[in-house]
Amino acid sequence: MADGKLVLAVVDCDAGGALTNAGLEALGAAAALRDGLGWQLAAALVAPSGSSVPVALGERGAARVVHLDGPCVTDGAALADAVWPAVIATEPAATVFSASAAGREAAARLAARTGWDTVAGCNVLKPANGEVRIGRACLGGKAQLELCWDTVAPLVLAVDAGAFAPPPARTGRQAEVISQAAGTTPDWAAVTHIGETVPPPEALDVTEADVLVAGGAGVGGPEGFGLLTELARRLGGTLAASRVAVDRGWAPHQRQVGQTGKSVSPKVYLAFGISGAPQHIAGIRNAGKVVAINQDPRAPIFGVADLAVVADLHELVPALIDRLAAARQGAVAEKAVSA
Amino acid sequence: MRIAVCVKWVPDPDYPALLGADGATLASDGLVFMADPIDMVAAEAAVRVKEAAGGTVAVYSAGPADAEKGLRAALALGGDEGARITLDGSGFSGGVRAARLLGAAIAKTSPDLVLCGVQSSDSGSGIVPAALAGMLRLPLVSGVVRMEVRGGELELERRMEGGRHEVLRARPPLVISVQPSLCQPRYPALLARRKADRVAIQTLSAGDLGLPEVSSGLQTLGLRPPRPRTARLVAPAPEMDARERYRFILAGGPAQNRTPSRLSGPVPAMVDELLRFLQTQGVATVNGAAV
Repeated sequence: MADGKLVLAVVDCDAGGALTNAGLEALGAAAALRDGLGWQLAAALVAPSGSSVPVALGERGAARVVHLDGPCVTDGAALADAVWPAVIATEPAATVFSASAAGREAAARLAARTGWDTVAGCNVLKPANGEVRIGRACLGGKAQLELCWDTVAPLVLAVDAGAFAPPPARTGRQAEVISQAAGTTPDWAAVTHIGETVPPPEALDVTEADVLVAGGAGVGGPEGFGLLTELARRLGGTLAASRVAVDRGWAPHQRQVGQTGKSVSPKVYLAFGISGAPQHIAGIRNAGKVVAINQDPRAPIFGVADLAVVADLHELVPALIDRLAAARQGAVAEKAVSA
Repeated sequence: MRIAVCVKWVPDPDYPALLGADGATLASDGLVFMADPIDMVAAEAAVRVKEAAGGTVAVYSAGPADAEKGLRAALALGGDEGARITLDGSGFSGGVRAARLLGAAIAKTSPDLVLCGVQSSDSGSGIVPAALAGMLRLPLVSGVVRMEVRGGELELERRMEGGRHEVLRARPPLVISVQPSLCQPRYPALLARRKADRVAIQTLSAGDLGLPEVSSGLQTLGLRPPRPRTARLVAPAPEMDARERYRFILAGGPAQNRTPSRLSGPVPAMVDELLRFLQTQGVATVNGAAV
């Protein structure tokens, strides 16, 4: 602790109170400042009492953890108000928020409250000689803006998704945990949630969908991709494709997943007729669950799958669509009866 | 309804970003500035609310003297008044300085609705909407793609993470940031442009708004060509054979070798199993119930 300064990472948790990857990346960015400047690393999180997250943050290198006792928040305004007591308590030289929507909004609200300078979408942090070089994309990604922070005036940072690695966990490291009540937000009764809709597959990008229905060479042609699109619609997801399928013109190139396509992180990835070349696997490393459907029981895709279905997709896909359609009709009929 | 719209004066986003001779700033020849297209969408949305529910539309910009041209472009869509808060382009505050100036000016009129683009096309911090909401102590609905007036309330649809759309009902006052797909700004008639040219635009300074000059700890070093996103390469273990190394490097790390549960047999049974698996992941539900 060269000059007794402190960097505070505001770590996101999901609605269930579990640490999110975005939150860990914010901690990783803050750890980069600690390492380069010799500051103390503190982490703040909002979680109900009894949460195991403070211990996990200690293992990941936080020297102090401010546990803000309260219900989990996923809303930016609520997060900004909830962590305010931690900002008061730790007087951070830099406060680092995650790339999540809530993290970015909370960063902006903290900046508005304090008037501190803010860098959002930060993707480079290079501390050296008591200064920090900061980089972020601008002009819609056409240029990179470089800034220099003197480390004197307090700063708020919101990191770019995927730019910083989560710090490694080492069991045995312990943080000094301070528990205090989370700050509360005025009740925004003005905004009420009515419902959610899922846009049609064509309108969804492969990088943002929770469910991806992907097809490869085994799909056999554009008709097969028509069926996969229909399946994607019924599952509330969108269509993805391997390089082979895109090269053959069965799916547009924006749908390509893999090393020369996009890296995706859906909750569920359904791979139909994709053998699983390493170049394709590289694009689905961050997928939640992988379901592989292939006729060849030795297809390498099964090596990275959570559920392996050895079947002919031309029989399976129509059957799946029929089942989903029948279930939907049943549900509609039931609703009509109950209404 | 009293509506405020924030309009940023930016370099033409369609201009290919070329660095000047110094290698740190934009090449200036041929560079045209304009009202940020996404803020023009916000202005159009504001005028549509005014047309549906009555009221006034005031447009605000924090920027150099030329930013008044941007304000007039927005006024031509059907705005009523405009104000420019002086802000020189030098230095970088990540939008906070602009948001504080805009917020202080807007707070004076306590509008029912504050509209702006979700993020500017030049700096693109996306800080201003939330910082404005923070300054005005108002809720923010961000990333709105549909907006309809329903009585004294608004029905809004916004884009969330995961590609889902959330439908909300909102009672003013609130701040709304809009996505470009919300609407297409109208092409103003000559008469509307001339009317916009006659609107008196107020000029305010930080001092007028009672905001102290804050010293910044950030210094702009300049622009650089964009960095390609570097792939994090994990070194393959020395005991791997050539084939394993090849696969390891191509896949960008160790393959997460999972031992999958295997399904085979008659198609209907597999469909059942597959749907059951998807349901445990929260997928394939109809009206919230399992299929």
